[in-house]
Amino acid sequence: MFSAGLFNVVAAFVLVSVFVAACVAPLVRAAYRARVKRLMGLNQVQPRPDRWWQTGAARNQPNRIEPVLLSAEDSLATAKRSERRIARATAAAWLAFVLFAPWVLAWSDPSAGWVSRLEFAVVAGLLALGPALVNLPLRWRRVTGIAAIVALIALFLAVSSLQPETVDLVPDAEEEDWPAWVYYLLVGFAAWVYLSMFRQRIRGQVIPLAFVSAVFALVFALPLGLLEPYLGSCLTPVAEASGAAAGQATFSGLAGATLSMIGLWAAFRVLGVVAGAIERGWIGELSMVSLVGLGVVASTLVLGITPEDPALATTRPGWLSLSWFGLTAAVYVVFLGRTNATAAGLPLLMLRVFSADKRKHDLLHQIQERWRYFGAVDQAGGPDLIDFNVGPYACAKFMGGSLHDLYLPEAVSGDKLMGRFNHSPDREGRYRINEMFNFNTSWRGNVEQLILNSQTILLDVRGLTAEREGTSFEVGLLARHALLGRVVAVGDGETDWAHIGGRLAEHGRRLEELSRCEVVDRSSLDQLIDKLLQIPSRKGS
Amino acid sequence: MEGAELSRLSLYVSKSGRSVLHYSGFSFLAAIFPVVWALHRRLYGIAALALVYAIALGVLIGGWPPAVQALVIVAQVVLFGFTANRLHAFLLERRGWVLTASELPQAGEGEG
Repeated sequence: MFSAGLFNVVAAFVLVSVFVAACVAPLVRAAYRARVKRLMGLNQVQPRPDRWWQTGAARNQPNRIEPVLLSAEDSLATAKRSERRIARATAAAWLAFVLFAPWVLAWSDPSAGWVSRLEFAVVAGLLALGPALVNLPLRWRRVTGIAAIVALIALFLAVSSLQPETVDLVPDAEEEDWPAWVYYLLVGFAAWVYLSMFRQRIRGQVIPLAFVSAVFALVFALPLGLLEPYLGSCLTPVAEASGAAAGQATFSGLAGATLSMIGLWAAFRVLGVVAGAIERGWIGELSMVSLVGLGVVASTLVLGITPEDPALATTRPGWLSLSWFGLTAAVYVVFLGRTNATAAGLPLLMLRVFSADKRKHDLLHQIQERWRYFGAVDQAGGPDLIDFNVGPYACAKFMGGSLHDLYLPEAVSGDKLMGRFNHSPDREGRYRINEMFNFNTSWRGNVEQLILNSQTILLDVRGLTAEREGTSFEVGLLARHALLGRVVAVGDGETDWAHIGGRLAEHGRRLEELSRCEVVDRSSLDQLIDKLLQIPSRKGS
Repeated sequence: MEGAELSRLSLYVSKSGRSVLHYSGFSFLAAIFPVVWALHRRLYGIAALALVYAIALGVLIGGWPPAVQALVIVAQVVLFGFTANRLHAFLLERRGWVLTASELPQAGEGEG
């Protein structure tokens, strides 16, 4: 198995795992969505034992910190500093990855000329854009991505025109006796797999699945490969004693079954460790996607550089890949520096209609991604936002069969509820998106507690009419508890404000007390953010 | 598959605070991959027995006519599929786990 070199085998397993994960991820997402719907339909028939709440409390966040109430201007300035800090570190890391690339090629293939090294650096820069853009603030990604791609392609064309000497970064289809369409199909597959690692709607499943597949494959295959030179002599007496086919089949079956179970156990343990690290804030969720993507890109590029000397295939590609990745990560950490953000920021509660409308999701996603530089985002979990909010932790819980542990079976006190949310920033200064999951018997009570314990509330009433009541329950709660001063309502052309006014009047409130907004473009989104930031400084909120 | 589910979902909780989902009805996973089904339910003893059974069955019927082999496999699929979830519920209740949540609506529950 290792005749091609240990690194090549490991890298190939990782790539196949990513490919398998990209193929399977839509199915996992569909299964996750179905599971969420069914769990939300559960009714509690008996109270949980106290012990369950105590183990649940162990997951609660210690040292609940009260939100820091800054002025809108100070909040904006703080958020901008965080965004710039992360963007600066990301840009520095990407640049470092590109600048190291020529040396990586030189070390792997000393005969490569400087033009080839530059071309390799450009290709590395293009492939590293995916991991870099994921880590940037959402509103900067498109422009930065387009500008970088245009610049790199222009550079590649300029460099290629200088000299004809090139290095074989990809196999020549004619030399490999492949039809051209097979080669293009493979390139298309590779591009699809690459994009799956970074696309918002699917990466939350692809990355955890890739972890599980890769660890399983490596735990299953590496021992067999390492023992391969010895297995033959071990199997001979077994085959002679009991008949070659039966003995070998039994041994193979037992070995395969044992390694499979060990592999599955190890895979889910590793995933659990990674998910735990994200939950503890040691690494951000976006940075984890970025780092994994960068690791795959680095190992793929090194794999693609075929060394002339077979002996180099055993050790140097592995160290090369690790060093390249490690140095890039180190540059990121150095430029990121230490964050002073330890306070709880300004948490935002998002109340929304469970809708299948992707346009509604897009706006909520934009608001989430902007707000997480000001403070945490709290919301009721549901099947509609799975495309955006399923991260490694939730995916690990789902694949491990314990997603139901995240669901509250009954209405709880405000302290108990808020203790389940994490309002502190991660080490990079980004805040979390907290989702509250409920059974059918608990959601009303817990939504009420969530509203009572939130200082800044976004109420999504887009499309709310008398026929489609959506967040009417929440509107009634806000009016009953006289909390309209904490709210900004987002509507659209379909919103029946008169109906909302009627709901408010049932509890003695007026529509004029409700701050309203309609978001149609970026500047109106900025206005919405500004209105939300001003809530804490409003008198009587 | 709303309105056309093949199973009911329930939740059992042990005195030590562990919880597990239970599905009633026919289990396709148990019918086809009983070892994986048992591992997923954390029934490790059952998984070991299923593994031994699978290996022994393979050795036993290896030389039989294909039609007989097919009959045995179909019988296994039907038997495991229909009994697995009942076995799971039996084992949970025997070990003192309590049913705390179910998809069945409570009396007087109006809406979700």
